[in-house]
Amino acid sequence: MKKILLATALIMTSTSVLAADIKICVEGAYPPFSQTEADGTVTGFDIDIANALCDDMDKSCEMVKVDWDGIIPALLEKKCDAIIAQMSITPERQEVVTFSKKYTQSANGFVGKAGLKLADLGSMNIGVQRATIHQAYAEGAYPDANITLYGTQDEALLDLTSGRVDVVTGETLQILDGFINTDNGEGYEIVENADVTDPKYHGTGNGIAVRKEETELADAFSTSIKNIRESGKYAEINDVYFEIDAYGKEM
Amino acid sequence: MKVQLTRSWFFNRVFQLVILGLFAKFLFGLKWHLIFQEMPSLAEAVWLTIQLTIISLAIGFIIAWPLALLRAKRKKEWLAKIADAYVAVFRGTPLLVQIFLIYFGLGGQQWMQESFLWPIFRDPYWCVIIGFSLNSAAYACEIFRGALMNGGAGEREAAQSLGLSEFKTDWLVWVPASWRRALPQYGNEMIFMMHSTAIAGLITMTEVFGWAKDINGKFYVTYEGLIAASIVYIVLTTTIIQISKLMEKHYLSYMKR
Repeated sequence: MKKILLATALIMTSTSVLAADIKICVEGAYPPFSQTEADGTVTGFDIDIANALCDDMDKSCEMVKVDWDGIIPALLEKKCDAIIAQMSITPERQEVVTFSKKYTQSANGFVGKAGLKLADLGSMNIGVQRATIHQAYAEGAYPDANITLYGTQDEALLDLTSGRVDVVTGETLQILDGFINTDNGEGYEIVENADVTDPKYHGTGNGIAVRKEETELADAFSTSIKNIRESGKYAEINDVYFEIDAYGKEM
Repeated sequence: MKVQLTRSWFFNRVFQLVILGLFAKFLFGLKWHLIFQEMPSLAEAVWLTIQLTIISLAIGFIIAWPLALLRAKRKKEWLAKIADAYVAVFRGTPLLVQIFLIYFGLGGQQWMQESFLWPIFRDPYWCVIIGFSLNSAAYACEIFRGALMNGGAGEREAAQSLGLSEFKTDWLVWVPASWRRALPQYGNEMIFMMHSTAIAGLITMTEVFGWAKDINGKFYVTYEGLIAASIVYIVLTTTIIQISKLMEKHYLSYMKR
């Protein structure tokens, strides 16, 4: 019995000794913000931003790849200390986590075969990623549509090209750079005038989520976001991925 | 018996109490009201799981017997070889891979999307029914083949001496007798198949596991959905065990005097 206790204690201490200062949950299936390379590493805008923030805070960071629909539970279960995954700041999420100030702002958009009209959406098969603001918006704004939930945005877009769903809704920047501007996205476009931003669903920008009680860490991230915005590091990363500023309007 | 109040006895009891206490604290700390609130959708999910299980098992059962006969008799060697290959492929690869190959692989092909089969392959429901049925057929085939070969000779000889044709010997004597021998093992296959339906949750279907994922995602929780799903699976498994006991009682009643 003592041996078991001792072993447990050893395992607990050893993992905390080996770990980096801050473990960051990222998604790895949301290009170009976050994608998994052939060798298993994660790359993308979110990862570059995460590294820049960690440099600014002078901390060592480690990326932990977690599926989107389990990413908040992973944070609460202490599998990581922060989430940098284009997570919108919404009142529901704020009940469980604390957010830093926003580091990007996303617009909501629908993508479908070229020529699709806004009026068509209500009666269509809509694909959307589970547990996102886009799910909440699709369910709220199109109650008569047939909505299919996906674990990842990549899977939803895959079923859009196969024709299982007629439209996919999500973040416009992601849809543009991760789909429409790639080979797979030929013949598809953003549905005009469907890009509504409703604060009730879409929140106030995307922040870095930490556990509810760790407000200090959230503040540290907020400060570092401000620092890399001012130092030009943010713009440097942004220009690699996007033509427009992902940060949106200045706060 | 006298309890020895040694230090290690005391230590053990304290340790057990702490573990039990932590477990109880964990269970009572969960947001069970979410599950009660979602009962209607859970009922739908359970019904879907039951449908998938029954339909797949039924189709698998029908495919498995001819294949098992082919492989047990090996009268037409080339046909038996094809059946061998079929079983080897479907037992040799994970069901998850098979389902992904059908849903994303076949379903992602241009020619499939333009073919008359597309209405079937477009729907995840039929994709998993096809995948599960073919998979269950392979496993059931192996069970049935074993039962056929296990004591076939005497039965067939007796049937043929009564003047039954080969077809009648196979289907009216050999297969029913082997079915009785296969029952206990087939009960396991029914349980495995039911558990395997969780894979449907990975391709957008809201069966019990898919429901658990939706609940966890919707309310940002880790355990509630999965524990509720586990309870449902345990209840379903117990039901299947009871059903297979009833079947054994029915089919094997002639063994008792």
